[in-house]
Amino acid sequence: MTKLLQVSDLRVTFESGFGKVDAVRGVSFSMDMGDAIAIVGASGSGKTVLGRSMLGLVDAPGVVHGSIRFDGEEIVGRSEKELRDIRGLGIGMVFQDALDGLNPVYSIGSQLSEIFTVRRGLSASQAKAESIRLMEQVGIHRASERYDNYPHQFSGGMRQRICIAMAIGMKPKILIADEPTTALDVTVQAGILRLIKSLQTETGMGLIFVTHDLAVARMISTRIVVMYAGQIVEEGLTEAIFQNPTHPYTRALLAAHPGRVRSWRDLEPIPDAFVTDSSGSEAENSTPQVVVTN
Amino acid sequence: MFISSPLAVASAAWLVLVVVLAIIVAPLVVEQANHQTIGLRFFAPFQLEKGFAFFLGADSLGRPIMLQLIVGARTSVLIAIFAVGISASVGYAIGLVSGYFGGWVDNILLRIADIIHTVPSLLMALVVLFVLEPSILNLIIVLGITRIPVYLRTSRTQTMEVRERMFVEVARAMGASNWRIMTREIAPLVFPTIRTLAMLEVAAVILSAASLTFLGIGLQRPDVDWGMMVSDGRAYLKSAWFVAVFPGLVIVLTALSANILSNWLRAVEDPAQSTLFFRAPKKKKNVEAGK
Repeated sequence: MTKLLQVSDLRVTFESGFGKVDAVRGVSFSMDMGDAIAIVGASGSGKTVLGRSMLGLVDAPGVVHGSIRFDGEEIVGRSEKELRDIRGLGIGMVFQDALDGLNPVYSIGSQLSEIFTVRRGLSASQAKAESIRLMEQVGIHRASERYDNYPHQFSGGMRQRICIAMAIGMKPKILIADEPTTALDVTVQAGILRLIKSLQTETGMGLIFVTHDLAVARMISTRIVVMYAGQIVEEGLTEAIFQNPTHPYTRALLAAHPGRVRSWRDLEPIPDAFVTDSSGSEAENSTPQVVVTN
Repeated sequence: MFISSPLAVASAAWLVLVVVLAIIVAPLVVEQANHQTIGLRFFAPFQLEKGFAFFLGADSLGRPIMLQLIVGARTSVLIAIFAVGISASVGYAIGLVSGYFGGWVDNILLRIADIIHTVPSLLMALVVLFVLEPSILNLIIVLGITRIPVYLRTSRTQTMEVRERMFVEVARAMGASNWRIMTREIAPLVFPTIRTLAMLEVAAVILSAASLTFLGIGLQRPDVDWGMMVSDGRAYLKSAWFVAVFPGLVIVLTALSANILSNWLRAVEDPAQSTLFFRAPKKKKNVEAGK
């Protein structure tokens, strides 16, 4: 049976002025409906680029190699026009920067309704009803009154909820959430995470949750993929990884969590891993060296 | 908010007056405006004995200046609106495409804009109008084309900035087509800038139309516009100042009004600036109302 999403040997390379930068270096994983995968890693480990490549959103000078099969269909190398059928309806995405995720010149309601009239072919009144239902579902109180509000009248958390509503409104089979709570404060964050989790269990869609926060990953995922320097260094069930991390980088990540130490002096920074390598083969084959001091 | 800004009200009133005179009154007075009465040559202004039409005096052929101004308004307004309309809409559209797609399309369009920009617009207009027949239509086309790069560059720069905003990315991830992103997501945010620019350009276009006519290649009698009137009066500046001064004054007033109004519009739309321009109602009033 074909997997819902099958990524094999994915490579994303950026051609920059000072040589090639390999953002993703041979990543393979797969998922089914109902799976919730958290992709964790430090800044620059390639997790965002990995998420974007699944929608074909890697722009020039980025080049994608390898294979991403969604429902048995190859995504890598598709034309922009063919990708549009998958974007939104097949794979939805929620971005990190919610404050700018809605167009400031249209009302919240018209932006939501537009999706339903254009992508799902509903009539104007059906679209409005559906939009209000979704706004309520993501926890906007008195949705019908706020339907005609503009984005600047919404708080950051509410805007992120609308972005989530826009993504799930298209009923995608997979939802990619790229650090959707990073720009928000902790109390709002918890609400959004609970919302995403409950929506995921309700609809049974697959979830790919990109984050650098292990606590968040633990709360939301069934499986964790740990990335370091563009490669997957560890993969497994969420609890298993928390109980028994095998890779030194994962252990270092866990050790870097403030909840685990008595004083901030005990926190160990992890050395950066920017892979700027023009010679090629050597870096690809070696496992990243991580200095773990304790 | 409009009332609280007397300068904007005055500007709008002047522009409305000009447009109304140009559209409604001008066709009625064309005959009278072009009627030459040699006996009234250089009839001095501010006298009512020859009728209201001669209140602003008469020109070198005894034509009433006031009526000439009204008929001239029609031509000037027509040229300004259409020339600005052409250049603004073409520049806006090309700038959007150019800024959104970038790459070689952008390069080619920009180089063409550079070429149009580097040739002095007056020189280009001179050549074109010399080769073609000087008429209102040709004047509009020439002025329209030479002004395109101004809008193109503005629209392009603005588009490039908006293109990087998150909601454009969200729309793309939602499966929106390029056309849809350009027209629905980006264009509305570029529009206010283009509109402000167009209002400013109205003044500039009236002035360049005036200077073309002043050079003698714009319009030919019996068509008349303000620039032509200034040009006619120049020779008699010492003996009959009013022949050149009144049309000059009208050009300045119109240009100024368009500038003030566009500035005001921009300020009103920007919440941060509108508080600077228009103070909140004083507290005293509220207290009085409370009693």
